[in-house]
Amino acid sequence: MEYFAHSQKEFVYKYVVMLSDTDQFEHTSFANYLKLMFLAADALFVSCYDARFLSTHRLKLVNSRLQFKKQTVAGNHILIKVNSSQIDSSIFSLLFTFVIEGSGELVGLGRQTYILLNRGSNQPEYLSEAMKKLLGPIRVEEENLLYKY
Amino acid sequence: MSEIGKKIFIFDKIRVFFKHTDYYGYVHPYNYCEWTSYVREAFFSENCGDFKKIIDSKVKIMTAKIQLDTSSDCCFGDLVEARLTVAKVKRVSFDVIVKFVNMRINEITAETRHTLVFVDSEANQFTNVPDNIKTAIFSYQE
Repeated sequence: MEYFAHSQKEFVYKYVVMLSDTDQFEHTSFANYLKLMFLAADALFVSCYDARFLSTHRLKLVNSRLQFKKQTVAGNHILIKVNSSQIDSSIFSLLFTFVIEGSGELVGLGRQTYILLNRGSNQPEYLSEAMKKLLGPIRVEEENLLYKY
Repeated sequence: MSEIGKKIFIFDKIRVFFKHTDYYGYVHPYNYCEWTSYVREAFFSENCGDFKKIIDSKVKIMTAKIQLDTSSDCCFGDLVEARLTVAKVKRVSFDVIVKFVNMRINEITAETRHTLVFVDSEANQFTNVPDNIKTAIFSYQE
């Protein structure tokens, strides 16, 4: 975990853009940013993913959106800052702020909504205490944010 | 020129392999974004005669935003048909909508919507949608 300048906690995932992430226009192709959102979300929840949880639960993506502000190229160090919002009994959203490390230039803004399902019945499940412990400290109120995700 | 809203571009070459599945055996949602790029590129290649000329020119196509909504699940072996239409056609941008239909159950499994903008890479500013692309998308507008 790191802290915003204004004491806002966030989960940070770091990624260095590789040549294999870029296309013939030398930029990271848009689908790869989505992959980065999934990587960052996985990294946030990896401590919850024990065999018991995985055999009984499924974290399902409901929707995802991403807006691009700046192209990235091979060698760029990207920080993906993750916050949570709209946490309900079984649904929550993650907000992703992509910035270039060092310069702080904004690369993109992403938002994903997930639902926790029972793996057998496919019915919504209450978020586990372990998940709440991860989501709570990085929670923000979207209407108070500088960016619209 | 055809009428608006009369055409849907069909891309029927998607089949789910193990590579596309997640821990639970369903298609990982990431794939819908990757397939979206295949579908739009197939559309441009088939409908804009000199598409290669465009991509080699100073006009660059950029994705400004993308949205993905998922519904039912796809599994290994499913055939997925992608149906492309276009919306919000403006001077320098338009939206591409791709609906993915799981042909096994004949249900929409996911939908992506992304905005393409056109940029003059030399002047470093937005530029008009090239005429041949504008012509190609005309009859695919929702």
